[in-house]
Amino acid sequence: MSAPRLRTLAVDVIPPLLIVGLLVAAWESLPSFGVNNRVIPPPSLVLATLADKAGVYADNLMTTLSEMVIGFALGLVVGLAVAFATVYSSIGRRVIAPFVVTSQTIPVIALAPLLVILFGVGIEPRAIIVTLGVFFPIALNTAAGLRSADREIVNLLKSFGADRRAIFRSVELPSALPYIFTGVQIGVTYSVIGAVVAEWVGSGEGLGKLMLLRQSALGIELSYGAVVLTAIVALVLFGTVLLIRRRVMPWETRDAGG
Amino acid sequence: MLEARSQGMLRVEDVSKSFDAGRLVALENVLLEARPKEFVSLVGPSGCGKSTLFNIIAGLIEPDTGHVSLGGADITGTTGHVGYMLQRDLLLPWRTVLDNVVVGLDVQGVPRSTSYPKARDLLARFGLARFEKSYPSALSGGMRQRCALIRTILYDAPVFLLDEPFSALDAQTRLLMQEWLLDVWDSLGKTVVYITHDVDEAVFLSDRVYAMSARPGRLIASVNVDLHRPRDYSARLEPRFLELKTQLVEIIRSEAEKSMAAELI
Amino acid sequence: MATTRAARGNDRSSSGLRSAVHAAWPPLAVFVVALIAWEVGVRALKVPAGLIPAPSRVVNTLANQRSLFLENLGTTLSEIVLGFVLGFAAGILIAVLVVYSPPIRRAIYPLVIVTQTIPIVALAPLLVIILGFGIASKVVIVALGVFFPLALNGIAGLRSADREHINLLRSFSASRVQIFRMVEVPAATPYLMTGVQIGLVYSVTGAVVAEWPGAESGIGILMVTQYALSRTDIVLGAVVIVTVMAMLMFSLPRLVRRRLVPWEEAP
Repeated sequence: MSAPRLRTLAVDVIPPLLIVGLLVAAWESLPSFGVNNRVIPPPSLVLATLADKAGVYADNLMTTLSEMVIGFALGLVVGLAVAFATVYSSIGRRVIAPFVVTSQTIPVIALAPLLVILFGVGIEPRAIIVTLGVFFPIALNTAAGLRSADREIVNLLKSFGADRRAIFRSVELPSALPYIFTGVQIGVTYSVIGAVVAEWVGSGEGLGKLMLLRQSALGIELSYGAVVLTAIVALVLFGTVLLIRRRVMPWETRDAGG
Repeated sequence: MLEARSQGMLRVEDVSKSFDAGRLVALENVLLEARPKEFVSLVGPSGCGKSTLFNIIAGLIEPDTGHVSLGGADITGTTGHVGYMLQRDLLLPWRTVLDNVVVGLDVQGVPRSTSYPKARDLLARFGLARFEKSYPSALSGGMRQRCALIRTILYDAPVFLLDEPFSALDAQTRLLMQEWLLDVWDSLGKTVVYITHDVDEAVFLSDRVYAMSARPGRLIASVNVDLHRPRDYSARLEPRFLELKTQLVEIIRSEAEKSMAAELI
Repeated sequence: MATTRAARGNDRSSSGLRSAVHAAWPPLAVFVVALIAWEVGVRALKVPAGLIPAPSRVVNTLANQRSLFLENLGTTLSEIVLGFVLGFAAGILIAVLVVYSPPIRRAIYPLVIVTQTIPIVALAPLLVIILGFGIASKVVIVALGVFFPLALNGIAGLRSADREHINLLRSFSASRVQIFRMVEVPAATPYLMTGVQIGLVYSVTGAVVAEWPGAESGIGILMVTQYALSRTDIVLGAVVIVTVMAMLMFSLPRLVRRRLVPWEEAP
């Protein structure tokens, strides 16, 4: 590795890692300060339980993931549909806009108890909560993206006799891509939260349910483990979308999308 | 603090500056003088280091060698001695017009009871009295540069340093502003160092014009403008004006060609 | 040209109100129609109140159980306010430290960027375990959720200060503190306001949802307990309250913004 690159590594990567290391070390040493390790189990214990009870985690993870995937997929479809309807059809815009505006202000997650009442326990209400929370950022960002196409380029292509589909493919879609990705990133982050939090209401399974355990030492360790797992899932999903974004649009600057 | 600043000769002696660990030599052994109350212009091709020199005189960056002195006192690297105006008006978007023009005095701790009346007077003279409570975003480009000029005047430094202040304005506004500037300079008796790429403007405004070479910037010529004062538009039509202009254009042109050739490498 | 621009400035308030009303009435109309349909539907189909209560019943409950709602609302509001103040202070502190101290920036800024993706609300159950059923855990959740937009926007805002504006002040021999006060802080203010807007909107859901894993009092825990008792009317009443809170938190900063950032041009 060349000297400047080594230097960048030392200056940019090591300090934050050091801080993280210090924090983890501090966490690990809490029991020696008299902190009850039933209340705050040290990381080593949490990791041990993660490994030990991998099966339990896997099952619950599957439940939560399926809520997220179904909810996100539906939210994506609805969001894209709404975006296209509002951008390409004036009737669509007028009909849909009021709903979209209202859904913006109602905190979706707060509706969880309601939806559980309506749809009972199981993955349906949770998936719906995810859908409701995901469709809006996707719709908003996609619509903004479609509209961001440079008017003058569109007119130029029209003057060449290009039809609607060609214009869409060559100008509007590429301009919309960065926006769509941003919407997807927001949606993906939300689906983790939405699914997990929705599980806090009602009964059933899932990572969120694991988090509510606190009656026993094992329960508490499982709870911590579930939070760690959720954080990892969120980071992995976000990172994956970001990686895909960089592959699909390599011309974007480093700050784009975070 | 304002009183202590002397109105003496401005000397830039033997100033050199390079960037990027010596790879980019912006200025080389620049020698420039401006006598008290003199109007001096600097013309040169783009990229010749005019702005670097400007920042050095203002004390915002330090030269590698040489020094800047005012009235015999060394002011290299120190700020506060010049009134400073760029192509951009630099009006602070969050201050009203009135608060913007007194900003230099605010920094110096001058109470507003003192600075506001002077500011209002100048705003009225420049036709901006109605806008004193407006924000810069409500004004046109020409109006904003007028505010910038008022701000410079109010700060009342012995030297005015102006870097292409009117080049972003449309031609008519530019002519008006030039005449305004000469009025102000005449009544206040300031030393002005004026940077421009417009030879016409330089000859019209100045007592003396320095020509700068392409990078690395050196002052290669000094032309005395002996046209009579006060000058108005008719000065541009005198034969002597054309002579001086031609003289300078010849010098600058070859430097401009060198500058463009360097960019193509 | 300048006259029209100055004149446009005065016109802003009246046209703003007009366009707000113009934008509001279609959703409002849809909302009213939906309410009526709901009321009629529930009555006609004889839907049990435990499943879907009629709007009239919800309104009734809100009125009758006033004190219950107000008491719980009070708790949740205090969580929001305390959490917001804490998050705001922490956000600003970190923003200033990151911008003005290179070692701190190198150590902390990357962490802030990465940790913002971690769902903060997920920590709620753990905080309840550690801090108990009182408001502390909720305050922390709200504070964390407010901290991120404030810190990130604060950093962006302070950095947005124009280099040339700073040089201008330097030419007047302004001190570092003067430059901070007269250029960098005003430049950061619009960004901070946006951060406040984001943070406030988040804090409503944050506080409510943070109560679900366990709380002594609050609108959130009210929802969960009443859901278990099949008092859907109370749950709906709580949802209405939460929605109104969210709307207020959304619009309040916008109204204040005009006073704090008067130089911003109307979009």
